[in-house]
Amino acid sequence: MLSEKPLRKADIITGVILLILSAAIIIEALQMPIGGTFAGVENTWYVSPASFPLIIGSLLAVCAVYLIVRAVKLEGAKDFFTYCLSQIRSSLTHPAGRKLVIIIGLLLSYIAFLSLHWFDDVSNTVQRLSLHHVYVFRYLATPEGANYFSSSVIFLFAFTQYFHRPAGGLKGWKRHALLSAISVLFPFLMGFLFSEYLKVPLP
Amino acid sequence: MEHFTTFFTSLGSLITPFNCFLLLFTVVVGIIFGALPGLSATLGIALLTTVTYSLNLPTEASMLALMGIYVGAIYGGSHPAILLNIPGTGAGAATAVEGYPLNLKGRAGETIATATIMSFIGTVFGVLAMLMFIPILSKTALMFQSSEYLLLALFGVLICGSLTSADSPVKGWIMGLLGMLAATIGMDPMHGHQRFTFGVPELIGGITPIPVILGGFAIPQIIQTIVQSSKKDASSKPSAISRVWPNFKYIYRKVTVGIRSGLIGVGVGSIPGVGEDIAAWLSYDVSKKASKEKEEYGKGSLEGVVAAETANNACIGGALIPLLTLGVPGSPPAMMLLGAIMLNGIVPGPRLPVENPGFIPQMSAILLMASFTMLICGFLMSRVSIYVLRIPVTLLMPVVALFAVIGSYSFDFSIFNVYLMIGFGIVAYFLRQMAYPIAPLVIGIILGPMAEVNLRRTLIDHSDNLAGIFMRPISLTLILLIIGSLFLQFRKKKA
Repeated sequence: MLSEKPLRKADIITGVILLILSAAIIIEALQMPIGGTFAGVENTWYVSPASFPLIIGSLLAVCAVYLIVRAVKLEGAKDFFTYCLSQIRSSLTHPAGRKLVIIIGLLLSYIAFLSLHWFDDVSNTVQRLSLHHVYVFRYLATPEGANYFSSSVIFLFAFTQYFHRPAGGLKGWKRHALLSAISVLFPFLMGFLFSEYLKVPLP
Repeated sequence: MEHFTTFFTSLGSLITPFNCFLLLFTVVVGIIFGALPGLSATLGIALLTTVTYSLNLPTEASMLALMGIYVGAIYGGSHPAILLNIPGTGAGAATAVEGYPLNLKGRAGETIATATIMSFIGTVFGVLAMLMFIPILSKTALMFQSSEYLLLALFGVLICGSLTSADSPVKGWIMGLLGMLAATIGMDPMHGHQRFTFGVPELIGGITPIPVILGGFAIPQIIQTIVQSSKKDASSKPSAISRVWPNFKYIYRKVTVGIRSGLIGVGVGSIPGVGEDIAAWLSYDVSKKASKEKEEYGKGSLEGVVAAETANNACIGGALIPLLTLGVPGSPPAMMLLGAIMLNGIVPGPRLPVENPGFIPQMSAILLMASFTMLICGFLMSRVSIYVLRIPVTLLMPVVALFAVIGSYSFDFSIFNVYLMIGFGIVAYFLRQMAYPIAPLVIGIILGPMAEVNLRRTLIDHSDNLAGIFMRPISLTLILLIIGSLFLQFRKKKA
């Protein structure tokens, strides 16, 4: 969790985002059928599909305003923007921040890769970029290639290669061999368990 | 009385070699889950639900497996807490404060044994509470009308928001509101109007809680554990454990602490979405304030371990009470359990005793069996369980990510749920950094439809006379509870 000062600054940002969100909810809810008739029965606002989102949206707006007012009271809004910018800059250069970016990047690319073959134009892009000369790329862009197994192996391999550096652990080719073995073995075992034994068709 | 007879008959029919083996296996897995930082009871149940569902196990076997994981994981956090000062779960954090100093004094064996016995007693306390309160609550729940359901849902989201929030309670309420908002996505339950779907066909069916729970509890944990992991691994050697045996005279003397902690555990457990970690801390705080040996606390007080461990396990039974009678889960693991029970075609709520008469006594019997298995496994594993902590988190966490992906995919074979899980998980990490609790959001998603349908029904029923809501005794009680808890929150802040 963040400490007191950045937490209050963050509260202002989330408060503003929540205010915009609640406004969007209310506008969207007002487009829903509120009056008129429904299946021949006269509709009233409180039975309409819009009533609940309207109430939630207004309550959310109240909470957001409270959050902003509280944050400004506790810490003040002075130097708000310069403070935020410096925070972002320092968190990106800080090792923990870099780790965070890399983990999120790995997770996102994992599922992006998992769903590659749902998009027809991916294989076309591979063709256009002349990547199809490289067999691996051509294979990975097909439904048989970009599946649960290959994407999980790549994810695990990248993740462990980057993060698993214990002090006094294995070094050199032994480490690579161990990590490769783990990254192939786990997806294989889990894939086998789920698709063969539990009859879950994996992507 | 009929409830008790069904309880004993189902207990008898449940004791088969297969069931005992299954329970033994899942309790051991549960203790390992509890011992490993980053893996929790919620996650254990979530991941195992995938397996039991896909295996097509009969309902009683799935429930046995899930309750085994639940009880094991809540207890398992105490082992590394006492031996290494690393609480495996939030529920074990209070134990670490007192248990580790005791270990340094060379009393690790006695402490672990006491924690095991008290966890067992706590769980049994939960079973007793279930047997006593469920029949009463079931009868009351049958009298509920739409206004009571609406108020119950609101009260649940409200109290969960204020109790789980580390910062202002408003943050918890915001998460609860966002959860209820997420629940409105899809087809409107009364008119069939599509709301907030933005033309995305996957959204018409609405958002299911399972990927949200998996994302909300697994992904932030993965990110946090890896970001905080330093190059030095926790391979510190645990000290040798003396004889693992409790001092029964001491336990007998602490019987009041045990009963008080059991009551606190059951009470906290029955509050929607507020779970084992808060039960342990609250009970620990209360016994610290009431204790005659206050100066012992913080330096290794066995009484503190007794209080925390009894309460966190008593919480399990407490959490099952509202889950089974009202369909309102009492703790984060119980939220996942709700999903698992519904996957088996059983809908927890007031109609449960009518539709599946044997189910509630059966759950109590399963919890009792799980507590005995935990007692045995706890003693047997006390010397070995901490070795699982040798598994480096940098290897464990990506595998958990793999499980979360498969888990969210395998319920309805939809890649959309995987996107939802990862997307929400990453957002949840940042929300947690900004002190927004995750549990109220999930409670909001679960109780949102209940709140909405009953709000609209209440307004139809009472359209000519809204004051009628205040004339119903249960409604009035709930309204007073809501106003009371709101008032309490704002008064506490001024003080």
